[in-house]
Amino acid sequence: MFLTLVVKELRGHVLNLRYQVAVGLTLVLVVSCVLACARGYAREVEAWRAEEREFDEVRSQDFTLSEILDKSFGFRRPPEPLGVVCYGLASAMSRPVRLEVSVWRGQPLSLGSPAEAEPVLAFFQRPDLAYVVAAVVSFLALLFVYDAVCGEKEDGTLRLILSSPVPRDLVLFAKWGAAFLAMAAPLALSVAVGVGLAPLAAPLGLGAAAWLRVGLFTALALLYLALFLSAGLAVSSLTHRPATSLVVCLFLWILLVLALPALGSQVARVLRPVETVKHTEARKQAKAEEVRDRGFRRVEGGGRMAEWADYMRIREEIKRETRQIDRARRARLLEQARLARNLARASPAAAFLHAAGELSGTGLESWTEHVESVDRLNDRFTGEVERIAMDLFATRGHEAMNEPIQAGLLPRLEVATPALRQALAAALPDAVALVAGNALAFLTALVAFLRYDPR
Amino acid sequence: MIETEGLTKRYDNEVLAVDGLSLRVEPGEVFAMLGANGAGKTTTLMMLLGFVEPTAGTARIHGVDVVRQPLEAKAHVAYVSENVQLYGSFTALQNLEFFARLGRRRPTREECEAVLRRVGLPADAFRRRVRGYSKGMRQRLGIGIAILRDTPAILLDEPTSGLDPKGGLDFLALLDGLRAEGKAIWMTTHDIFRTREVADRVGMMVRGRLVTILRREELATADLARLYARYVDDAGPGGGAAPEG
Ligand SMILES: Nc1ncnc2c1ncn2[C@@H]1O[C@H](COP(=O)(O)OP(=O)(O)O)[C@@H](O)[C@H]1O
Ligand SMILES: [Mg+2]
Repeated sequence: MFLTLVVKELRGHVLNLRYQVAVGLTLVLVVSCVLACARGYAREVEAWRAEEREFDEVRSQDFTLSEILDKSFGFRRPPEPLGVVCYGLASAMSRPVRLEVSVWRGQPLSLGSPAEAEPVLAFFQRPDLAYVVAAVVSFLALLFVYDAVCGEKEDGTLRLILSSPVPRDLVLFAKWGAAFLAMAAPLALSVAVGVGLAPLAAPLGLGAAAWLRVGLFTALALLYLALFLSAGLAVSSLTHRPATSLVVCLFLWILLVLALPALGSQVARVLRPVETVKHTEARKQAKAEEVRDRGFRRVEGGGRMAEWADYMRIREEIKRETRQIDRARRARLLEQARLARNLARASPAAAFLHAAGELSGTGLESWTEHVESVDRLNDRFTGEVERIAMDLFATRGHEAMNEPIQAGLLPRLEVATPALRQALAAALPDAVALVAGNALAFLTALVAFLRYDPR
Repeated sequence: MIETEGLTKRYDNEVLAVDGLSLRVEPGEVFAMLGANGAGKTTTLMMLLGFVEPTAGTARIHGVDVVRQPLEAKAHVAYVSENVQLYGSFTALQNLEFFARLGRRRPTREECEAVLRRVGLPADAFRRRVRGYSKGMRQRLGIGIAILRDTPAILLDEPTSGLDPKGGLDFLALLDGLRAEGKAIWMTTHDIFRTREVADRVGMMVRGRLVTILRREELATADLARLYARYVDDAGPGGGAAPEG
């Protein structure tokens, strides 16, 4: 009986021009956007390589200690191949990082430059695969089922079905199941084809682990699709005319996909404001100035001087104080991003994009890891330069400043990416929100359908 | 067999749509329910289908209570609505097969085609989409579904409205055949003259009450005219004849 109903629904879908268009559109959009993102990735890799060559050029040289103290060294995280699935915070993470050892004015924030990009706003930047699913697939899903129930109410066929010895809930389950099958198959296929063809556009070098992540992303996309099918069926069961249902569905789509995510970010920015980079830099400079004023003795002619021990203490203090300001700002940014994320979870689209980002290694968790790895590099890098300086001062005295140092031996950026387990844990709350939303929508559909009066 | 016992429906707005209806339609019997608009005919059918819950009384189809065991009851009854609505994008055969399966039957292609021939659909229409069908053709297909489902009871709402003369005659023949197969048939109708030719009993419904039941042999021309006059009389707003009988 269930099978009969499912087969009838499927047959109805497949015969429908709307379905054929939806399938074609899904395939074309998914494949073309994955290919476009792969080409974007290839360009990013090229830019990254060029920059790395420059950095290496610098690193291959020897510098004197005084030169090193004046210089800045560049580092850049390589682009994330799974950014073709979900670009997320990839651009924030692949910003070049410049490290300076000199601390006199407080190190500029560009040290941890990914922190400059507000992670709250970095989503919805690029029409990547995740975006196509979030915006287009949800839209197609609603368009696909908006008349599934109310159309049959209006046509009167539902009445004939309900005059048969069929449990009512079975009718709705069949509608849902058939719609899901009809849309999930082409979606999953499109993702596989798109990601499968992507190596033609760029050397992504996806290994088994990356494919596992693509698989998980696909499962997430299907969950997201399921939610919108349930929501569409709920609207269709609650309304009596397809025209009404269509209007409500469009409104729902605008609310869930466009309005709520943006609202989440805006509310988070109001509730947890973060000062501008300029402001932070000014505060750091003021702090450094204050520490110097306290520590140095003014001498005639406008200069300042201090004993060696004081000099080192002042240095340490400036470093500590300015880093604290940096880290406080970063913590605040993260807090803001987390709040935005929690608020936006009311929107399935935002929940989906966040979870997709985590799975693709471009989510908030990856951003946090990356920023922390830059912090660690900063500590190691300055620590190493200081250690060398101390050694040189101990052995060479005031000659130390002119001793050559091999820049190539100084620490490099480690690319920190959360392990799959971590990524899954980070994606879990959003996935749970999607499951809960789906359950709620389907339950609404079921209650409305069971209450329908076929007179 | 279709039985009702004190079947009553009072809607939320206090309209007493059906008032204490007790009736029994036996296997091999055609019962026709006549009545003006708003007399309560459709409400009665809706209660028999379990779409409307009775306020009081019981209804049984093939001995199964329609409220207590709605699915079982529906397994024993086929319903043909006044304006048969089917899936426009499916062919006649596909529609037929789908609804037969919902009725727990698994007809073969030959059986389906035989039924379509029996209800008088032209062979070239079997594999055509129903979207292009006339109302009469859909009606025939609807009856075809009822035949294929092979239930002991059949409910027909205004089955002859909108049929051309040939369609009307064919319908009478079909109904005769179904009666001969021992189906209990309950139909509502406005078509008083055609009713006489097919119904074994005619019930007259006025404001929710079954006021007169005439057997086939009582349906003499004079009676019919009287019945018809009252039926028309009662149709006007406020022109209600006092229930009698
Ligand atoms: N859902 C409803 N709610 C309230 N009153 C109704 C409803 N459906 C029908 N009625 C009333 O019940 C009476 C019987 O209607 P109905 O059974 O449709 O009659 P018929 O089919 O004989 O024309 C009418 O007065 C009608 O207005
Ligand atoms: Mg009626």
